[in-house]
Amino acid sequence: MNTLLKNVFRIALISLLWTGCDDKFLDITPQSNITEANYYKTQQHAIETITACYDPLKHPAFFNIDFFALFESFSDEAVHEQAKLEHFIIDASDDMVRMLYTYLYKGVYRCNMAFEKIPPIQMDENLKKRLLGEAYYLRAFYNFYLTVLYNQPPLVLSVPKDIKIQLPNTPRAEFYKQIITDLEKAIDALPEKSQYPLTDMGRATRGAARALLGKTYLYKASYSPDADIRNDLTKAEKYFLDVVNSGEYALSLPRINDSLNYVFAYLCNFSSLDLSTPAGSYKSENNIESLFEVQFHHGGWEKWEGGWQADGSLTSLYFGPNSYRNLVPTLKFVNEFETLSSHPAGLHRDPRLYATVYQTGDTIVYTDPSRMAPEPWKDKVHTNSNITQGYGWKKYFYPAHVGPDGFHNDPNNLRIIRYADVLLMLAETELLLGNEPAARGYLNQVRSRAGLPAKSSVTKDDIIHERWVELGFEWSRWFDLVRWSIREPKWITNIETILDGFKAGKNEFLPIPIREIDLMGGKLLQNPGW
Amino acid sequence: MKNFWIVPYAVLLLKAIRSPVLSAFFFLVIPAFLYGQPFPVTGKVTDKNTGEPLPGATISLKGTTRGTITDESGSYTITVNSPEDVLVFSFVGYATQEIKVSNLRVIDVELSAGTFAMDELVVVGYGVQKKSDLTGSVAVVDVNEMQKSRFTTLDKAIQGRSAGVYISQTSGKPGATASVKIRGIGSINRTSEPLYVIDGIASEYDDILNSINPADVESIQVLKDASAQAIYGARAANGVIIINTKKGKSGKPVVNFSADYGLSTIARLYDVMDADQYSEFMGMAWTNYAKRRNIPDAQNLYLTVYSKEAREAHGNGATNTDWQKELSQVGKRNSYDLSVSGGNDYGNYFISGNYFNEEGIMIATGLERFSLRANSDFKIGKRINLGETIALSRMNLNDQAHYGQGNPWPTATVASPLMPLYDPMAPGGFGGPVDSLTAANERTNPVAEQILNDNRNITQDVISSVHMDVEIFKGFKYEIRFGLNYRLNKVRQWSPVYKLGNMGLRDNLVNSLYEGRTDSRTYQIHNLLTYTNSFGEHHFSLLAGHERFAVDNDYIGGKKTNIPNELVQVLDQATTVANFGGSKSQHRIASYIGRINYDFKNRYFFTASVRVDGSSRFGPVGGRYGTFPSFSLAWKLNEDFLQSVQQISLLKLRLGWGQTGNENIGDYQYLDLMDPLQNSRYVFGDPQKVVLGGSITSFQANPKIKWEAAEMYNVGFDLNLFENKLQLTADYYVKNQNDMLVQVPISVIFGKRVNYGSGLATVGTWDNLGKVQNRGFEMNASYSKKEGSFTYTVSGNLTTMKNKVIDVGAGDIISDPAYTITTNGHTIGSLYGYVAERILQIDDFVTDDQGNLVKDAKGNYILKHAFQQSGTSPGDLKYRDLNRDGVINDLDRTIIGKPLPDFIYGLNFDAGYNIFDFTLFLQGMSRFQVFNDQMRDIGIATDRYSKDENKLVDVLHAWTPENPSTTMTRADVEDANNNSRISSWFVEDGSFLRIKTVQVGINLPSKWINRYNINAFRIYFNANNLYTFTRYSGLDPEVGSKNPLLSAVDIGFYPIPRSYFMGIQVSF
Repeated sequence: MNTLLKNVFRIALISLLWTGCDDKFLDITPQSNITEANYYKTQQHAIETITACYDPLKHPAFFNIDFFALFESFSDEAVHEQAKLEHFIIDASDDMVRMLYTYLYKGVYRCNMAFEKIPPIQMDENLKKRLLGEAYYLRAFYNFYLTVLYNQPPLVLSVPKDIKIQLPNTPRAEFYKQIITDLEKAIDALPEKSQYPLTDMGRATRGAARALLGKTYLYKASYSPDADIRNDLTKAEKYFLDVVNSGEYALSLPRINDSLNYVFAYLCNFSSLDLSTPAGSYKSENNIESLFEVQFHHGGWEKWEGGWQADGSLTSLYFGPNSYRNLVPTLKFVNEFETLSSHPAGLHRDPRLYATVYQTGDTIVYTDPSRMAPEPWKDKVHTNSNITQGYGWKKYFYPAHVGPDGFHNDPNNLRIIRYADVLLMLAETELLLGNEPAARGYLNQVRSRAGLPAKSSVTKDDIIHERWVELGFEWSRWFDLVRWSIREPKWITNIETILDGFKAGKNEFLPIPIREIDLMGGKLLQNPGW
Repeated sequence: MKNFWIVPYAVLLLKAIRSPVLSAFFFLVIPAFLYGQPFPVTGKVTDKNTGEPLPGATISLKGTTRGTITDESGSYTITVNSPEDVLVFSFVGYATQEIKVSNLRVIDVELSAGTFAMDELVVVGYGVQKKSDLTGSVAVVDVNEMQKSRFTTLDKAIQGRSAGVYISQTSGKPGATASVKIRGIGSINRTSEPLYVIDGIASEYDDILNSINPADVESIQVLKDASAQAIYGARAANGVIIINTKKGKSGKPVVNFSADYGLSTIARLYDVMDADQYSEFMGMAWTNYAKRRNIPDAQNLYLTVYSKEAREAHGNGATNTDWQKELSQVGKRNSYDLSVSGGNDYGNYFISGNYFNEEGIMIATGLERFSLRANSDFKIGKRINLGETIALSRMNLNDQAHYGQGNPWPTATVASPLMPLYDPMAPGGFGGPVDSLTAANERTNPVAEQILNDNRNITQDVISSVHMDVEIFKGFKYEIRFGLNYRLNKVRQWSPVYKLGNMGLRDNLVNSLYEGRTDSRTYQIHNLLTYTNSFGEHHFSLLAGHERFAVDNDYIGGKKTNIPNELVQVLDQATTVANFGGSKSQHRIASYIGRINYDFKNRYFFTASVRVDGSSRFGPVGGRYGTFPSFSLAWKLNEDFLQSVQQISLLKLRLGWGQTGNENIGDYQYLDLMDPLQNSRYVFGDPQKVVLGGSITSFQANPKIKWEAAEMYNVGFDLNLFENKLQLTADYYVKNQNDMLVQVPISVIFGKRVNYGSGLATVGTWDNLGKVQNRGFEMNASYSKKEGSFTYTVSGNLTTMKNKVIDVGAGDIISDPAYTITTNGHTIGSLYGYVAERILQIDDFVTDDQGNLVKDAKGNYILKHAFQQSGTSPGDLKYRDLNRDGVINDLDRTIIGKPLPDFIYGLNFDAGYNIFDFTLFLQGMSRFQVFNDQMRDIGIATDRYSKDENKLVDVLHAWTPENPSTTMTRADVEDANNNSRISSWFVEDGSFLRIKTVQVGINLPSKWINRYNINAFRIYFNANNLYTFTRYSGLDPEVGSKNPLLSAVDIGFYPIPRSYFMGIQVSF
């Protein structure tokens, strides 16, 4: 029996010896993902890291859908089918409000990650400088929209580590200060558009950074104390002029005086296909007029399955004339386009109307012949009675987004800053600085591309009119109205009478998402009125 | 894997062979064959009351697998080895007796009927115990009763069978698994489902019960208190259900055959409007809308589409589709079971096969299951037992179609009755929403979606184990058990070409096929040493062991489109690649197990156990290893104090404490996992090209996370009266779940992935924060009596549940969608929303001298109370301004309902008279609220989505100035006041009592069947879910969800069918 007991203990002992193996047994490496410790090592990783900084731009919660849905329906330009958007029935827990905020910070986070991880990587120093320049541009870009839309949210300049972090509001002035610093660094580090190889088309350029910096000063001027306005406007003028004088950009002009050429010279800014006429073709995406675009493509992920992660846009599907038609222009906007007594091509209305708005009977004049030909525009029955019957949204419309194999994402880039916008902002800046002749010159450049008669004198109202018709459906109108209303209460009154549900002193900004307010433990205050 | 199998065990084997162990082993084993002089014992088993012989009673040799059964005259013969052997006489429904052989050669036994077997063995973790010796709270499900009802899956079958087990069906769909909660809800994450241990092998899946043929089950034990559960350590906090399958008994082969056939129907449908009513209502709604918004044109839509004239003008005057009716059908089921079992001195076997086929009550849903089982045990010499269990099953589930608008049932209630079912001209042949016929109602044709789209889920399971136990010397045993569960899950989704109307974009102009395979292997191996001995009146047994558990999952799936010939539905035929993917995951647990059972004089019992678990789900710096101890005491009070009280057969007090864990949070959650590069890709270049982006961590990892710790106190007693005729078990417990794993919401400044599945929330970071308490009282009682040839048993169980969040940890958790809140001091997942007080009447608004409503500058009526929305009008719902700030907004939401019942209960009545038997089983839940989400669409007259959805007939009584209704809102095609918001208006009492089973059986008299060598032949008629008593207005108040945050939200489930069937059971 003794021998037996010994042997039993032996078995028990062997069992215990396995303990050593248990640690190894439990330590399993994930097979489907890599971990952070294995990344940020090579030049390729650095390039990828910067690519990821651009990615939030194309998300539906940002420019792709929600920007249109929110700011087109808020403004007097278009009506949305959803009452909650049309009548400002949103609150701090609204998904769109939350998602836009999320994606703006996602962009900021990724740029901050780049600033933390790229500098130690051993790689081509010139490339490193450019990549960081792109990150400065993008961080400024995201922060610009954070303060313009959410007023004074927290300014985040490094990768947060402590999950219990609680940040207070950052004063708007600090946001502008940081945006200006970042953009100055970007201007210094970034090449001009023409200096990039074609394979890098779509990246941030020096011109884009200058335009955004000018725009930042123009916006800052709206909020600045009276004493500083002139200073801000002078800076804005400088950066806009830098763009103008760089020789990199121009308006896309009609080649000959016929109606098609007048429409295409403008419409090419919203199309994904180059627009051809017997007189020659008009380059569309990333053309001479383009300073910064969100790049969309519908190669391998063109199907709806690509969904929220797609490389293509969803704007045409949501707002376009042969699908959901969630946005429809107001009659006020349609009427804003000038009726002409004479035009070089004999048009009776401002040619930009035909490129911006669908009208009954209109057909799509630019199609990729390999794609399905869309039917003539016919209005659908809308339950929202505010919707103007007979008109539809046309800019960025891509006719073949519903193919025989289902929904497609659109390949159409969204133009964020166009040269015409720069010219109009410059005109506005000059006018505010008291330099009316210069203002008139820039404004008339934009008018003359449309074949409209030159203005002999320019007022603020002319600029407002021109911005609206030139930049219609480019969510410029809402931002302009809010910006102007800060110094000119008539705009508030205007908005209040036009827009049902709008409350002055509240709806100029979106609410900070309630979830964020809660997480910041009382430090982060909600915007007034919300 | 190499590490898992080969190394330790190969080492062990090699060492064992080389070492003296093996030789010692043979020295021990071989003489065992030579020990003792066997001799036969014969006798007769009879019923104590009637004196009738009992054919089919089991006689087994205690401590062995050897045994026999009595013949038709109740006689038996068995060979025993020595006078020390003990024979165990048992028969279903009779008290088991043990008799020592001594020098007797003839042993006649009288068994008493109608009492439960006191020495029934109960399977506890890693061993068995006599029921009377239990110190912990272990519920034993009455398998005979359960099997009688012949529910399709085990979870449905055990519902209501035991106190403390809260089972609610999540769907009436064939193959749907129920939500099973033992002693409340202890955790908010993933699931709170228990651990299932089948034939000693733990399962990774909470739907494993689907793969087990209920007829194969020998016993089901529910480990309810921590002192019983702690032996399963880090996986036991939500309770443990141990299922053992049948083994053969000694004797000649016994063949059982059963077959049944049945029909099932939908118990209830919503009373929605037919075409004319819908037309009438639309006229009302559009007129009101036009008037309120002052847009006379708005009525045109009614005139051109909805009016009787317009419908006839469009040639659609006769269309009146009842979508609910078209979507439902009479379900059919049939099931066949065949098993053979038997054994002799050297082994036993149980072999069974089952075929089951069920068509659901919704068209094109159903389940087909084949299963096969072989369980056997072999005795090698006196000291070695070897055996295996192997079960194969294949489940082919024809599921509901998945499509954008979700589940077809809710769609069927809101789809327009003006939409035609068929359209022979359209690809696919079905009608759909056409704007000229159905105007804004773009709800798809749910029947077409269900028929055209094939959504199949095939699960093939192999659940197998081999085990060997060796008695090294008397009382000292070594057991090794190796289990392999292999699962192949196949998903197949086919969509042919079809076109449904011209709205709602539900066209599928290119066919597509998705096929996915998940291949999962679960391995478990354990080595156990047990030692049992007695010193005088001191009895004890010790257990020590080591276990490893490993799961590997591989997924691969792909979708292609454009298959030219729809008859050949394979991926190879497709011309377009859409999407392919694959992933892997692993899960490991290594454990040490120890337990002591001790009793003195068979009166005072003590059990202590400990388990140390290491889990791969937690990191080396966090809580990878956890220790889970438990203690429990029991005292048979009656043997000390109440011996003189004849009526008391047993009074036992039990007291227990233990700690368990929950590690069910998914794999690798402690690591900084990075998303694939393509998740952050962007487009650059001219021509444009997609460029991969940088890897981004998808969530903020917390390397310090550990298992959730549950601590439970249990006090209870078992009382048996009148010779065990009345049995009562009662328990009270307090369970504190600490360190609850909570996904802490983190600020968006962390830039993490956004979770679309749960309402666009940023994916949180895991942390051990929360604290939840469950308390409850449980009682099981049964009374059996036999009077002449009339026998009956009444048994019942009652459970109370109190779930309270003590500390929610990271701030209130609002579910997505925001139906519930989990907040301190309240039940997990409490219903949350606005308080809808009543319907606003004209008096609630400012009026002028003439009594006309006054409008403000924006054209809105002016409420005398808090502002609600622009557009609020008389006839809308009035919400309570809880914070009295003069405006109704998010801050006015509060808890509006309790999702968990205060009581759940089951009542079973069984009776037998002569050849007849009868069963009635009632089950119910009381005092809880259900949020009826469907009412937001169909239960109010203001249209939630402005899509002209169909609604209940009740909306025809909508509020009007002339009919100032207090129960139905005004009619309108838009919901300007947002009456459909989540509010108390849609919260209803969910209490119900259900007649779950009624069964009548006839046992053909033995004189009729014996001549055909048939031992038993029973015919029965059965009805399940015959009737439900409830005030709930939805289809069924039983709306379970595996997500503990959404346990009482009725989003339109597949209703639980009412089924009738008959069957036969034959034994020969």
